[in-house]
Amino acid sequence: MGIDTPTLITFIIYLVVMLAIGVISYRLTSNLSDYVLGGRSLTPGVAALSAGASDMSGWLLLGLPGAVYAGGMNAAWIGIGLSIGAYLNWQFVAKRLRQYTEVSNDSITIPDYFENRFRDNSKILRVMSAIVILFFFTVYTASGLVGGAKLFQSSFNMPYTAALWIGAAVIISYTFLGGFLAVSWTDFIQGILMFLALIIVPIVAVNKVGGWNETINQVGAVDAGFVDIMAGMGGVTGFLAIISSLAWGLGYFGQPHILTRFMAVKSSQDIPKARMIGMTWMVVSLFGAIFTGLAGIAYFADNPLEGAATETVFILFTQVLFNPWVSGVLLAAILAAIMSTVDSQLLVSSSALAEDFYKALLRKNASEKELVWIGRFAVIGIALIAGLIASNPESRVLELVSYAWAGFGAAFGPVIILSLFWRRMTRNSAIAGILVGAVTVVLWKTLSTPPAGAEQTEAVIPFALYEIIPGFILATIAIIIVSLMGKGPKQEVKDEFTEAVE
Amino acid sequence: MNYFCITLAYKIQEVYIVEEFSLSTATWFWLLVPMPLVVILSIISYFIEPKGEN
Repeated sequence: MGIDTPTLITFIIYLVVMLAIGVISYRLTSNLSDYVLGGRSLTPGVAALSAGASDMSGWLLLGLPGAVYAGGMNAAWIGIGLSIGAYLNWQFVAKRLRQYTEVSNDSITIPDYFENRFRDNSKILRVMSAIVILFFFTVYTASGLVGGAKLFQSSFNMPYTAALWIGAAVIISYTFLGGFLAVSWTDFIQGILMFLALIIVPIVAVNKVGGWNETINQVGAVDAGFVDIMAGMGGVTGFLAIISSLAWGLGYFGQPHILTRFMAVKSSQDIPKARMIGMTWMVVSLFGAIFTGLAGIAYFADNPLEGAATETVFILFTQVLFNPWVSGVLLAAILAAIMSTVDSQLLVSSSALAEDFYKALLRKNASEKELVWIGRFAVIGIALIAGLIASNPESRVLELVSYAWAGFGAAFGPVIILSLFWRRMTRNSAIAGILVGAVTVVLWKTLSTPPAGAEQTEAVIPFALYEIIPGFILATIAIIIVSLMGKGPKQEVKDEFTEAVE
Repeated sequence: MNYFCITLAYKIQEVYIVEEFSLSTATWFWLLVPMPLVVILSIISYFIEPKGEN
């Protein structure tokens, strides 16, 4: 792909707008609560779209269309699992978490919430969950930076290293300056851009192929199994594959960068409106991504994409179907998808360092201004580490995304749900839940991975099942058993529970 | 023999023309039920959830 002026100009305008939002938000940020939670001032629309955009990452515009292109309709199972999981998260977790985090000593981070909810004076819960956040998000952020660098590299024929650090510099700049407000507003704009791109591209592509019937007909002619969601899903292996795909939805309950959006909504009354906007955005976008992949099968039938190139089906459509100005906007949408996730993860990691390590362990009496600046420098530090991990384009960080998703889902998901719905839950059970969830994910992944080049049946666990399933189930069991074995929570904890949820 | 060849050619052409693909019933079900359903539920709950609490 060569560089062309209209595309470059569109890209630059997009990046300048993001930086401008960072500068404006800088003026509105005066304390740590403003910096990591925007002072709980998000409107329903901004909360909904920023939650969706920071959740989806480049997977929505590159990964999902590529998976449908390569495997047909049975790649849609993950989309179904994700939309059900996201809905349940909005329906059952969002409102209670918003209320509980405010009632419980105005908690502004997930580790902060755990500590206040369970009255944990030992700091074990706070530090343990902050370590989980820092570890998984540094790797997760690195994978986002790799995606952004590859997009810059392929769009502008830029060396990989330069592309990596230019992308990182823009994200660091607006996150450093504007914190949560900047991240939420840039995510909001990025969410709109992604939404429009995922409506326009498949409609134009299907139309170009000759309409819906013709597209499906050509897809079926390439491979009859591509038009059947159940193709290749027979037997126990197929059943486990479907369950594993649907189980991605479980991950939502434990993703700190999405949960903080719920905590930041202006009022719990706004949650139903935010849920409606967020779910509509998500489902329409998922359909757009699925149909982009399907249209790609028909459109590129004569020169099929292979291997890693299958994930460029969206990029290719922007280049062959649109003029360079529109193409520039659509390419910016891909960068938007990547940036909106990386910035949110950087901010959560920064808050873990400032609030959960620096303030909790080193300087209890640190001023608000000092904490904001610690948060800002934490953004730079974490981004630099993530950039160094990402500096090797062949590193396997991209593979760790599903691992990190499962890690957060299993370690935090059951703790979040039960802490909001079960009065009897204790501090020790929360510690047990986080430990069991995280360790199960790591062990299951290790034991179910076969040696290089070997069949799945040669692994210690001889079948493929997404590690979030055993992790989530065992963590839930651990929480229930440890809670029931120990002494119940103090009366003040129970009273606070009543105040928060009733 | 000529008649046989011509008939066979027509038959082959017919097969190619007639064979059309469409999304399977299971695919339509899984696309049109769970995903739109969560949107519909969100809209319904927006209108029926009690307002005025914080």
